[in-house]
Amino acid sequence: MNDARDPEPALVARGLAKHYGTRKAVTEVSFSVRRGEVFGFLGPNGAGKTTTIRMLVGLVRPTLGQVSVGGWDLATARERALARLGCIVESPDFYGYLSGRENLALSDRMARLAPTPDGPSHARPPAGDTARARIDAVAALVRIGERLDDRVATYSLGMRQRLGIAQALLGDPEVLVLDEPANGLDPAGIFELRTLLRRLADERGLAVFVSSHLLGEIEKVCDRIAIVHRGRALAEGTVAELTEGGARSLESFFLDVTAGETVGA
Amino acid sequence: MTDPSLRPSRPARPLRPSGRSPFALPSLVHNETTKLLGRRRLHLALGILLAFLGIATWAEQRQVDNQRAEASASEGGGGHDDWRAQVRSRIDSLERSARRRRVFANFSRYQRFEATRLRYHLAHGIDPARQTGPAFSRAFAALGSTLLLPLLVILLGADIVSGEAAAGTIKMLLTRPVARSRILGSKVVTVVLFAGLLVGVAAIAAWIIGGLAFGWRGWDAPVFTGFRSGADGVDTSNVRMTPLWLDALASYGLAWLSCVAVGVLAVSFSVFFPSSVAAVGALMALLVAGALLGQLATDWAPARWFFSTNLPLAQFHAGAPPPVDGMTVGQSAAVLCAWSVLALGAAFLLFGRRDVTA
Repeated sequence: MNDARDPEPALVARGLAKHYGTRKAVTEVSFSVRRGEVFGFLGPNGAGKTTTIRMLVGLVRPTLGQVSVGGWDLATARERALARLGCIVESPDFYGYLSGRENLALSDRMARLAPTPDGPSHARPPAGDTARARIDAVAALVRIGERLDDRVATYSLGMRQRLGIAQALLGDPEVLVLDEPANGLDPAGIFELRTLLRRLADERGLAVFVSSHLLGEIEKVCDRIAIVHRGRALAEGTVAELTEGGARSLESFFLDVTAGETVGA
Repeated sequence: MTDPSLRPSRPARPLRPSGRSPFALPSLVHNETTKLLGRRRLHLALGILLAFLGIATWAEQRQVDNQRAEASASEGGGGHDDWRAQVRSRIDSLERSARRRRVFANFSRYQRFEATRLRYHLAHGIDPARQTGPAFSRAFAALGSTLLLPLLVILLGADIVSGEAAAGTIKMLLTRPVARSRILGSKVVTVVLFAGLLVGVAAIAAWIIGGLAFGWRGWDAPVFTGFRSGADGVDTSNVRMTPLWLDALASYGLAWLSCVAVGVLAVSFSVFFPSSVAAVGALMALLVAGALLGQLATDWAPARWFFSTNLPLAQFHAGAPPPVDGMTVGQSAAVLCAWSVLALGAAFLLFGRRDVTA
């Protein structure tokens, strides 16, 4: 499963731009995320992070540029690209009147509709690969087992974040796109999330894209980082590259870049 | 788009064990059904329907009792042919007032239709006032298809897309590997199925509840259909006598058609309007405007091309004058279908292309 040697990045954004009339929400964002890597997308509020993420997951159509997921162009092979992607956009929203399990079952049913790379395949799933088993497996991974049959309306934001990650993992994706996943988590939950993201990248070879405005969190978990400001990706590199081998803090680099004084890396 | 490195080049990972299901629509409809039932919308719609049927039966029962009391008072407890005298005097009064007043054109039209229908009953020796469970059920198809059943369908469908946008769940829905058109298609299919369920339940529940009051037998009683508005009042050239069950089936078929059209329009409006309240308000305004036009603008020919003037299909099939002179059941059905197709086409175009920023 671990395809860390695969030369082709799992998630590629090339020259993404989104214009709403004369307003340019995103002017030029390019980056790539490789398999087995956790990629941090950092930027102040209003930098264009959310619009960029919406373009990555096919909710918003880019004015310019393209996105590919696992080698499939999102614009021309939408279903194939989305089959390889799991995501949480902005906040993990669920049907509050249904249980966690029912919500995951809805998602699982949709994930099963994905086209395979070589067109429709009617092969039977291996024994034991039932919806229930798949749902139990992802629920165990994010540790919501005992609350799974409660209505989601009774969940805390932290629980919904976990359910969101479980839901994102259901289609067995190659790419995980998470928007501020640490929101609503307590320190123990944040630690657990960090461990989970590393495990998904290291053991399963997932390409994990995480957006955040929390520098510390990003610094701790990410292999590489891009900094976005005023709709433009300004810098991309490893934490070591951006901090010049630790000579300066990521924070001061971030502040310099977003103040428009330096265009680094 | 022409960058060669972006072309699908390899299945680096093993193929998924199970591929695209040939039964995509059923599993999406399954999802939509889960959501609809989870929101308890069907429960609410059925509750309102049953409550209304209960009240209508009670009111009808009182009316029947009153008529019986009046009849026995005036005739001094006469024989079984009382109803003939009653029907005759009713026809007289209807025709007199229809001649006298032309202020409310629609009202005198109704009177003429009713008088003609009663004449047929008189001629064939069938008591028009005899109420039975089956007759009540048949009458409810016409009564319900004007406002009540369409409103319940709106309750089921008018926020089926905008509600997901408001709750944020549309992000989950539209980032799964399923084309947007299939998502919307499954919502339309679900609402149409539930509209059918509602109409079916209405038919059976009206029979059972009406039957409690008036008896369950009488499906084979004869009824007269085919009254049309002609150049000089009522055109009776197409009037036929059919068994009640057959006509009830036709009436509920037409009520179903009206409800499906409203359901399709409701789903489309839930795409057009970002707010559920706006969608529901617009749909209700449309229904009420149609009902009003049917009362007021009977001479205004263009009103026949409006969506909601055509909804009471089952009503003018059953012998009431159509909302506008010269409308036929077939033409109305065609107008409803045309509006539905138009709205649905626009909804699919919009839903497929629109940026989701909710």
